[in-house]
Amino acid sequence: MTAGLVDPLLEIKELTVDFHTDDGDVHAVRSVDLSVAPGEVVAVVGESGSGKSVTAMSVLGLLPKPQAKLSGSIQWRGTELLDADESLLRMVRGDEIAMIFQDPLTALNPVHTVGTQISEMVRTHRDVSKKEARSRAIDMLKAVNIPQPERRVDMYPHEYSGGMRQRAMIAMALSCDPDLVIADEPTTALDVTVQAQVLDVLVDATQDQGAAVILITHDLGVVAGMADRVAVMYAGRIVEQGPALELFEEPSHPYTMGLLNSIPHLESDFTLPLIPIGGQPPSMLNPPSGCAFHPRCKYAKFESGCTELMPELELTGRGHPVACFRAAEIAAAGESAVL
Amino acid sequence: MLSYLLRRLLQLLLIVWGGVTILFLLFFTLPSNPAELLAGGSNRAPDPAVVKAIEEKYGLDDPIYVQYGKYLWSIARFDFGESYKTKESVNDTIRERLPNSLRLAFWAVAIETVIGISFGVLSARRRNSFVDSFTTTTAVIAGAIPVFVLAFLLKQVTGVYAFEHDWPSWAQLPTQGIGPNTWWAVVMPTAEQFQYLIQPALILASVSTAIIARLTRTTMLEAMNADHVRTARAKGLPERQILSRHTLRNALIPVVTFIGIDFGTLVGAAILTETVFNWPGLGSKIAQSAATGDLPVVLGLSVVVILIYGIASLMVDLSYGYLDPRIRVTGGAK
Amino acid sequence: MTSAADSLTEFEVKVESSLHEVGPPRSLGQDAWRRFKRNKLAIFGLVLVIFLLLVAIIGPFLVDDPTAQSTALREKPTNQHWFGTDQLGRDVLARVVYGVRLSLFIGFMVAIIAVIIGIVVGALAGWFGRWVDSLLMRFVDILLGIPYLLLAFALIAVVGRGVGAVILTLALTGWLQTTRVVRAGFLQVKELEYVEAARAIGVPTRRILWRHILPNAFQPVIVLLAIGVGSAILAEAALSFLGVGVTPPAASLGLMISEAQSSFSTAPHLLFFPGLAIVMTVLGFLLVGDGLRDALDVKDE
Repeated sequence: MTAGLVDPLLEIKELTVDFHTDDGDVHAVRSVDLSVAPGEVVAVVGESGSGKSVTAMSVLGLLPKPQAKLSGSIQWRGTELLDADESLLRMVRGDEIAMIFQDPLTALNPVHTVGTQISEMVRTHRDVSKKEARSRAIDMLKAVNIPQPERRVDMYPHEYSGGMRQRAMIAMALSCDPDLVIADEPTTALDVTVQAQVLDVLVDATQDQGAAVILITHDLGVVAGMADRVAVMYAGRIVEQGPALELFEEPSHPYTMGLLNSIPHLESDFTLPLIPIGGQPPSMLNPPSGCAFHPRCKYAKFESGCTELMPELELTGRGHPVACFRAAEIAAAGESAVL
Repeated sequence: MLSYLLRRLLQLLLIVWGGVTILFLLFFTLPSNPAELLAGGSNRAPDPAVVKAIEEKYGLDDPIYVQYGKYLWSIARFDFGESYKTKESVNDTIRERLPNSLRLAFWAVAIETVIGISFGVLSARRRNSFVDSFTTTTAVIAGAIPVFVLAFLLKQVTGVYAFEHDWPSWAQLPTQGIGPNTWWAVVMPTAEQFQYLIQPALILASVSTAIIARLTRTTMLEAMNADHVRTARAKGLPERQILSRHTLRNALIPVVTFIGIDFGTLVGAAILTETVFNWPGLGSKIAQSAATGDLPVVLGLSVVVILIYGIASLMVDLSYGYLDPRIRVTGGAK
Repeated sequence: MTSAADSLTEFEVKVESSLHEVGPPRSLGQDAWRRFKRNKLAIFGLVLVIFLLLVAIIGPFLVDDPTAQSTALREKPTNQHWFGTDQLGRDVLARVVYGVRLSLFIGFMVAIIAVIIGIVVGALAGWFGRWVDSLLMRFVDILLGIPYLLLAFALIAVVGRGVGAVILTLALTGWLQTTRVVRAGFLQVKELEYVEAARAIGVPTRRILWRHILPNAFQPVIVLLAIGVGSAILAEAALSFLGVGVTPPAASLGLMISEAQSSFSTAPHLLFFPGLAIVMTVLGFLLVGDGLRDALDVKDE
């Protein structure tokens, strides 16, 4: 664990994001704390609606201005990004913090060549000529293993295959040597067969440049090979976070446990059924009282405060912070803690 | 690509042929005999001898398919015949009138492009503001006012009212005609010429301006909310660049397409406007000739109109591949 | 969060339910009505249309005879003649009311006939495809290559003037748009996977047509119908204005405007009232059409 030894690159403190809609306020993110150290790979895991994408987009100020209300603090190398001036954000975007989006087909502009889209970014942040920018684009395409980059650089996004497109997006994101890459569900829109390839490229390329990564996903399988630390989000809050290995071996939060139980591992016993988490994700317009997970939690107990009080992230005996009133009990008692 | 071009040209020919045939059928299967019309007009009973003479002269006593064949053959050689009324060669009429219609259409398109797109973009960027409501409301109402009413009111203001109340000379505009035929660079009018041009151009452009404004607004809104705009922002691009290269560039594709086709349409659809302002173009001549039963003129000019519309559509289709790279692979939109 | 295992029964359920999603738009209709209500312009348009319909239906009972000539020529509005009189001493209010009636009648007839033709041709082209489609669409392309007014002129020359002629002409030139739309709807829906799925399960063709394809292909047609009435009214006014439309003594708003031009400086009311009537009528239908288009557009979300 590197936290605490080195000054974190990114420090998100008590971030809260509300959206104004016709039906009321949607509490997408409810007081999230997260920090990322240089070179670290932090995975943020959660189902859709958990607030993970919103958190990511708040960092770069990409949320629609009138509807989104943000509070808290987002510190990048000591500079406050939340509600910062557009001119400041523009300097940070792409140059220091880059973002990769979920669907490369829609995330890339169909009327410009891939090379143009990479070059324009390079020329925005660096004082270089068109030729130099173009050769940088070719170099980046090479770095992500795109074959024949000199030809491909003048092709359009729709002429690339899905996996290649996402790798081109990675190339674009890394073109200005950012210190942090935020990848929002980079493999979700891809074929399963291609996902691993793209992930490998992401890992390698970012490591080569020494960039930190925030990897946002709902797929724990994606996380396993890549992350140093994992933060599990549910209903706009982080419910558990810690070193990846620790979290996988000894999950403390019932939600995390549920997630792990619902995916097949190589070592799992194939005779045992996979157990999905019952119920539906909560509405963020009207979240449940107390711990947002309690309606779906088999350990939820009124006396422990599960239904009324909001659990905070706290260190329990297990070693990494969890937001659950019964975490210690569950760890100790195991199945018998189920009601 | 070449095969595509050839295919489209053939298609164009088919359409022109089809149009000619339909019009020919319509006109020459008139319940009333065009010869009678010429001999005496619709009111008086014509002298049968005169009618016979006319029929012979124009070959109107030949069976229909013979007339049709003859006509197609002459068209293929670009000979559109003679006017029944004035004996003037239809080719000459075309030569005289076509440039005027083209100029009018050109300026109408110029006006509608500038005004329509500007307001469309403005409305989209300041959604639900006063500008937006104003533009949308005006656009809708403009679509509901008959062109001839608009034209009449405009003429009243600049033609009659302005003179009566002694407005500055630039605001007093002639209500008819085309003025001195002084153009330079084909389409640019002199100051005096402009006075005659501006009103019909404005009126002709009116409906299309409304359409373009609303279309641009729609496509801009769509483009502004597109994922790739978010990516562009996340790359740190300056706002102006995002607007021009990632929003407008995408939004204008359907708009440019519309404008291209509109040019082709306006050349022939200006019948009403040209008549009201007495602008000597193809449209007004067609209206005149249709009323007097001067069929060769109507047919000849109509062929030209259909041809121009077809060429405009073709050019738009060809350019579509240039505008939207996604279409290029298939060689053009269809 | 997808569950780990999809059983076969679940798949079957999914197919049936997705068929229902695109099926008869019952809940869609209520949803659309709610959205329509929120659109103020659309409601304003609807009010206009209803008002004018009332004028057309009840009006004739309340006004004087529009053909009754008198000696009071070109009089400005008075207590006796609310809209004044025209060049033959006829009551303008009465003429406007009958004019609106005529316009609405022509507008509806044209729009309905045009839409029916368009649906038939479009359905044939879209459902049967291949050479039927090619042939029909070639024909449509040819007709589209001829400017609208030109075609109308030509038809009028053959069919003559008068109300019936105008209706026929405008209907015969106005069905092209509908055809394209209906055909596109058919083609689109035919391709969709779940229709193949339904066919695979053995749902009979007729049922597919009725419950799934028709409702979807029809949504844009309703919009075209509304807008079609508006443009038909405008077209009739244009034709009448040029003298090739409705014949006197029938009261056509376009004709009235044409006659009113020469005496505009002394009797502006002769142009103003019919002009206003046309604008209101067309505007009403255009607004309703726009409102319908926005309300029925399920692409958002």
